Amino acid sequence: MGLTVFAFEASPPCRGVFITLKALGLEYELKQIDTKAGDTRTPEYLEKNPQHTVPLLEDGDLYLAESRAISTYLVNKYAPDSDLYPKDPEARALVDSRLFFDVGLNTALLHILKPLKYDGDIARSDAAIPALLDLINIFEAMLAKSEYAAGDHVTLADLAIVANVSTAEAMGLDLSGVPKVRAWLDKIKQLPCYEANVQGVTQLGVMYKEGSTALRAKAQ
Amino acid sequence: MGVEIYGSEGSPACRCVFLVARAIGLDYTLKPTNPMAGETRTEEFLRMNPAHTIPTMADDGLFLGESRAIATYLINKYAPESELYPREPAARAVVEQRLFYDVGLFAALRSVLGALLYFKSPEQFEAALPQVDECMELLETFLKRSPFVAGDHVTVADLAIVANVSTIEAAELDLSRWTRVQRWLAKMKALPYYSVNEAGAQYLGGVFKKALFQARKAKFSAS
Repeated sequence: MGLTVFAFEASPPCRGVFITLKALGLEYELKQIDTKAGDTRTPEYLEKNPQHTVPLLEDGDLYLAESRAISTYLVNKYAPDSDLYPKDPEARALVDSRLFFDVGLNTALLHILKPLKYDGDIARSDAAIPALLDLINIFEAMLAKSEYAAGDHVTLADLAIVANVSTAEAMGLDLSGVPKVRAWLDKIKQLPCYEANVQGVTQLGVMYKEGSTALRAKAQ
Repeated sequence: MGVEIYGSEGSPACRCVFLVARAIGLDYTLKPTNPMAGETRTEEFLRMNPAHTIPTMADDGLFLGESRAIATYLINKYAPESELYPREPAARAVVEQRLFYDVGLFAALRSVLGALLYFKSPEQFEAALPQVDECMELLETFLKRSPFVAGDHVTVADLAIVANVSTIEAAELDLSRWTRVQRWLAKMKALPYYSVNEAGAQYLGGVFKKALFQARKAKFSAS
């Protein structure tokens, strides 16, 4: 029967799951979801996921929402000895802590993207940029203590966070003040599993640049 | 030295950690830390946690931010057989999914509290309420599917969520539509270790009620 992922490529949390699936070498079927067209609000979808979000994982009887819970599940279930999610309590705790930090990154991104996508409100979108850059500065400080997001090797924390940080880069946001983040991003981009992020992040970057440029021109 | 938690009794995120520690019988020291007084912005604190948030945990050289990561760490480390955080992958995954849901619940609660405590705006408060309603509706749906939020027994997800829901109740926001939530809340309050959450929930709820009263009074006087 295998794994099914309900998702769309531009979405950073969806890309976090795609990257993890590729890193673990797991096959899956992708079911395309268009949130704007209401695909997550049908009674059928709500039965599977009352949170009406993507990504959603289907594995047999299990329907699991929340990208980071999906990623940790995939390791726990299919690759329990993987270094991506160490079993040692201290090491695992650091990965978990960064995964929760990553939720904040995604929320800050959404505060920039949603006003653009749904309301054409460039002022509100632009006003949300400093909050994201603040969090990226915090990530810079975290990288002063460890080479990767949660220690001395790649973990699920890197795979989740890169979906968001690569989006900030693709959007053309100013990352000149965070050299450690840029160096880390270059390293993660070299990983074979990063390929799963490329199409979606490019799409989202283009959408943001075109949309925001057009709206700023109109505002003048 | 033992486990130290930098935080406060009022903070729902801190109370999640207190509940878990009590539930597994783990001693800890509370190091009172007030973000509003700049205490999370000192060089010393930022060295422990650059994200400058509470709770922050110190355990024998390990420094950790993020309440739900602290909670699962304490169980993994000090009570790995505990049913609070099942080890079977699918069961654990549901618990984690509910923990991530709880992030959204706290965000909604914070919008409502922030509207009054920082912005002192009844309008912003009213605008933020639907977010709380949506989270409560979701919780009601989870509780239609199982007696506790992530299955048939209490887990760390229930403890995280109750820290927030008890605050919503103490703030006297309307929970009357959510009959399963109320039933679940009553069961949670009956847990032997629940008392560590009570004072903080009442305190924060009280702060909120006072702020709402002031904001409405100001509006009334101004009109």
